[in-house]
Amino acid sequence: MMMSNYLLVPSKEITKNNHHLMATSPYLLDEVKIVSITKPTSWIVSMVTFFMPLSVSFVSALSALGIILTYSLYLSERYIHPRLKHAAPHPQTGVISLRIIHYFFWQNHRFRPYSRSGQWIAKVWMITLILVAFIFCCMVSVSLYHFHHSRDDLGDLSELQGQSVGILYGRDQKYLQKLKAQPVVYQEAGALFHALAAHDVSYALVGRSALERYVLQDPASSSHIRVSQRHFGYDAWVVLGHKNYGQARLGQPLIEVLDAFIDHVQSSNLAHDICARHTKIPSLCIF
Amino acid sequence: MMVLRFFLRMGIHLLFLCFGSHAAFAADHDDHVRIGMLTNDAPASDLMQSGYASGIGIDIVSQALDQQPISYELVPFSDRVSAVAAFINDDVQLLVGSFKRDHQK
Repeated sequence: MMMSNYLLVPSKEITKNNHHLMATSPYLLDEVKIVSITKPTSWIVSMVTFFMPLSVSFVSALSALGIILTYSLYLSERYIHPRLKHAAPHPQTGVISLRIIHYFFWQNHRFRPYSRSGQWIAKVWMITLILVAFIFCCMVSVSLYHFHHSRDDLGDLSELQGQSVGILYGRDQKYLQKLKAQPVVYQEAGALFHALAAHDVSYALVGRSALERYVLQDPASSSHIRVSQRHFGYDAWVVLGHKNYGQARLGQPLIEVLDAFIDHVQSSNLAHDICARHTKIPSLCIF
Repeated sequence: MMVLRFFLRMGIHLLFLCFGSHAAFAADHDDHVRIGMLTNDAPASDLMQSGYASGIGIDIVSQALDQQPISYELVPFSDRVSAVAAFINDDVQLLVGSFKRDHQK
């Protein structure tokens, strides 16, 4: 199992202050994820939002370059090329651009620059067009990548700074307080997810298994849920018991009997079988 | 002297009675385990509408206890605070759910 980058969740809150209480060995390691809800946006809207700032500068630069090149081509060919010789002396730049493009590309390559400078400008123009097409494809690819991955990944833990973070009762809050986040405690995962969906909290710190269950219960939620790729620690699930309970009857404390049984199911294939009945991630029970 | 001997005998009887009843109570108390479980805490523990309890923690505990000469009953709790309170007060002897501890023992 991948080790976590941050360990947020060691919690012995219950047994720490009650020495007659004990916990068994962990029977499941649940990855802790940071979850937030994004506003539902269509692919087009997201694309335009990301693409627009880039495209404005891109189109501006392209237009300027196109005007310069076409006008240079026009000037170099104006009195040499047989088709342009008889054109009006100073037509508008836009008309000239369209005319040259029309000749160059759509009239079966009839337009051949006659001057040496015109030939060079035409070559630069073609290379520029290839580069522009390449850059355009890169921009589309990057924006698509951004669209897909920004939904899944939480860039940095500093995102949590100053934000309200929903957590379950019993989770250690010290790390969140160090991050200057505001922890809000909930009794159970359902209430936590409900608060997240209602934007009562900006983020939620939840186990992967609880998240999986939430998505299973509400499949529509998966389209606007944002989950950290990395896990920020893990919850080790245990059974809690009284220290000496069962000694008289069993000859050893019940908690030790459970401990031995957990060791047994983990060393055999039984842990996988038990987990597979209740979760889609049975690997969480094997470590 | 007779009075002293009488009180001594009574004291010894009382002592035996106390130890005996304690042992008897302990044996009786250890025969039946009350297991606290969270009702809406899948996949650790969950209580279906039909009353059927399921979950990884439930399976582990029930399979372990089935092999022991003791009976058990599940006591459902809808929230963690009341479950933990009942556990600390010895109303339940085991607690099952997504209760955590530090992985490093």
